[in-house]
Amino acid sequence: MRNAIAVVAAVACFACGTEQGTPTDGTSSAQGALQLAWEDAAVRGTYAEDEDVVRFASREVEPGVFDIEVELQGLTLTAVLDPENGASALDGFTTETGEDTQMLEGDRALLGGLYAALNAELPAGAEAGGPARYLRRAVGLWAQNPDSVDLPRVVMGEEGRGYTMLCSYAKCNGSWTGTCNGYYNWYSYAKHDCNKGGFSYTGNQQIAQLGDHYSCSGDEYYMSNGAWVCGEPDHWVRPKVVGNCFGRCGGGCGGDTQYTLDATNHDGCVRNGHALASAYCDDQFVSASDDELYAPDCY
Amino acid sequence: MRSPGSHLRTLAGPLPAACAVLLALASGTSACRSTATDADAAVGVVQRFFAALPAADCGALGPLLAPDTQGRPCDEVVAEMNAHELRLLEIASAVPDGRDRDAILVRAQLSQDGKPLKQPAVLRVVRHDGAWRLRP
Repeated sequence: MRNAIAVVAAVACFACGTEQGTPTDGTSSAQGALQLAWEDAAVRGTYAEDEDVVRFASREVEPGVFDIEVELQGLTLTAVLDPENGASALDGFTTETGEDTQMLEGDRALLGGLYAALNAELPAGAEAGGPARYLRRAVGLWAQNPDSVDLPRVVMGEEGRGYTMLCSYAKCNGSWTGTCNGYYNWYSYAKHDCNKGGFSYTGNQQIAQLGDHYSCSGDEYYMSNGAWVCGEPDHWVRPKVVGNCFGRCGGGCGGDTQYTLDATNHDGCVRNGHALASAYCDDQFVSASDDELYAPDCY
Repeated sequence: MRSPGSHLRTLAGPLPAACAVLLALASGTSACRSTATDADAAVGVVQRFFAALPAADCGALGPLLAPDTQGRPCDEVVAEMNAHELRLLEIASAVPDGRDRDAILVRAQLSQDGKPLKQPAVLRVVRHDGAWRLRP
């Protein structure tokens, strides 16, 4: 799914231009200050960007069940996750009154910063421990919640029915990471439907190398006239794309390594001429939600 | 922040609690009445917008739209919606945004290309230049 610091990446990429040859590695980082406190079966802390502060807490309330709460800008987000049974209840409401509210761009930007900070500070995958790991997954999901998708919802997931793993496509040249050396393992096709056409419209399809292999200023590469270009195509006919952990749940190259069908299709939507918050990608976002929360790591 | 485990919403704020009591007594304050009126107005805007959408006449649609956050003009916004045959099927609810009294959240079932979307969409109607308008 799309890099949570897309705004930063987009600004940086005005200078990218055309880059011939093999894509190169890049890095991204959080913009604010993270404070974490570990307790028995719990993690809590704050994340601050300028004047904005996010408070968060996650704890295991019974074996394998995690209760998560995140508060920012008058918005409280909550989640009770039961990954073992693939069940969760999410909510979001006005902190002061409990009234309904809506995720907006400023909320997503701040949550994206928190997500990047958690990725930078926490150990990868299961090594982070249950409370931190599922906090990171929930924050990664909320950071991409479009305006038009309601915050209170139930997410159910089951491998084979709710989500489909695409781990094998995340490897190239026999490796999960690093250069492909020209040995790609293309997945055909990442696809979405939108105002341009349906799933079968070739402009809504991309040939993707999934995985953590390249990035350029927090973005991906696409093939244009035989050369790799930093950025995103806009409804080209089946372009080849690679980089920035295409197909991975969470923004960019988050701490977990879940490569799934729905996350690939969501990337194929939001990295293809649609903004992260575009309503045209709502169905892809909703479909990818259980992948983000429950899918296992590929490595 | 509340401690984990207390994740249920608490509708304990002073205004909602007061409004609930007063509404139950059918003698609401002006603040309570304006909330209900605003929600009705927002629903009306959404209904009028989608009724006029197929004709793509920005003379009629423009006054119902708030400025687009991406700066797109009315005809571009409308053309994109019509290209995807975005249509209103039903309005489920309309409530004020608890973080912004100048915004109403309208939950609506929409269809795209003749097929209902998987879940209701949250539409945002905002007070702009003294009138309620749909935020594209």
